[in-house]
Amino acid sequence: MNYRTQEEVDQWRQERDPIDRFRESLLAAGLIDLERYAALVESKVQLVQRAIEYAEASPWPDVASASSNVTELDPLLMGDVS
Amino acid sequence: MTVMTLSQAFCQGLGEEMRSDPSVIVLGTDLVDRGGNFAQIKGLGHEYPGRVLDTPISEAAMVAAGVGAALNGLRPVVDLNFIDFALGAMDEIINQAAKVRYMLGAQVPLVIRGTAGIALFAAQHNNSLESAFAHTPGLLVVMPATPADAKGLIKSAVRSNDPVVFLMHKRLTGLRGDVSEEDEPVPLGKARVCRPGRSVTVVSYGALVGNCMKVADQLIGEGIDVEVVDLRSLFPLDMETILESVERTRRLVVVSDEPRHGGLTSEIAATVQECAFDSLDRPVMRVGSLHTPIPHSPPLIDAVIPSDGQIERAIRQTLAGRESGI
Repeated sequence: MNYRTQEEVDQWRQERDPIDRFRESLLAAGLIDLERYAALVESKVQLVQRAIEYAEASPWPDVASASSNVTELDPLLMGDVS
Repeated sequence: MTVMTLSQAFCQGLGEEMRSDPSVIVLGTDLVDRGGNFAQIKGLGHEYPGRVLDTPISEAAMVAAGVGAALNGLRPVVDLNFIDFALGAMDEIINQAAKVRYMLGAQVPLVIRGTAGIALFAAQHNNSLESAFAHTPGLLVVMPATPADAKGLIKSAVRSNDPVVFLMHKRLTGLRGDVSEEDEPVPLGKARVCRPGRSVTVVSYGALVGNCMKVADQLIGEGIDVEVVDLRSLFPLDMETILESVERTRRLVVVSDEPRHGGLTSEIAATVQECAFDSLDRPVMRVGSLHTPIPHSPPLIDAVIPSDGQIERAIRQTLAGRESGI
């Protein structure tokens, strides 16, 4: 680390983490309660976990898809004639 | 001779230039303690205190500071980490660094180093920008394929009075090879015939030179004697070496991992047909990547960039119909 000391990093993590602060501001404004917040976080953690499992269980992508979705044009019109 | 990696050779070359010329400085992120993302500056921060500067992450500011320092008598090397990050400094590179000599008559002895070429890291860290830089009047562009050339080219780049974009291929960071302890700058604009041959000329640069050498080693068993030319400098191009080779072999394949459309392979093919049309026995073949960003998935990367098989097929196409035993 060249730019910040470990103390500064720790201080931000412990006292100024933006996700923690966002939670505190939501709670303070009465927009959510702690139980609902915890349930939301847990559902997102599970969503990411399911996505990882799905990706790892999936076959490698079809190589024919490598040059699709670059533009609306057919890849053959973009100069790949070989 | 000492065996070292391409990154170590770059570092050694830059260190020697810093030792002999106190005006050489280095700017970029994660340099002083970490030595750069590819260990390309490792140790120099502590060896030359105050001359390797960790900057905030603003590529525009880094290059602008480099141009200013160059105009005021220093020889800065701006390390952009991945060359893709140059996209945040294009005005400073193309409209300032490349134009100052022409518009104001002052020289800009600036090196912009970036890691380039195609490997993992997906689309936004795998832009092939070499042709864009080579297309820009006022910039010199180099890309070594060996540790020895990394050392020799950074020496010449630092001594150049014009801005040089110094590209290091991701796949070559750890490539090992013999490097001389002597002060042997590699001249800018000079290609290297790394394998003489009689049957066909194959021109490439960066990591693809290694693929071309591998294919050449396989084809010699069939009596196909491939001459491999490593460009080393992408601007200026050493057309003299290429044309001399093509006039002997009468066949040319140009290989790159950038998208083929509008790139260096096209430039070389066009120039050769202009200057040596009557020497050619077959059409010039180009091998490049598909016209697509670089995917994240390894099998898709392999589908997009040139394979050894494609290089081999292109070589065979230039030899179609030839007498056997050439």
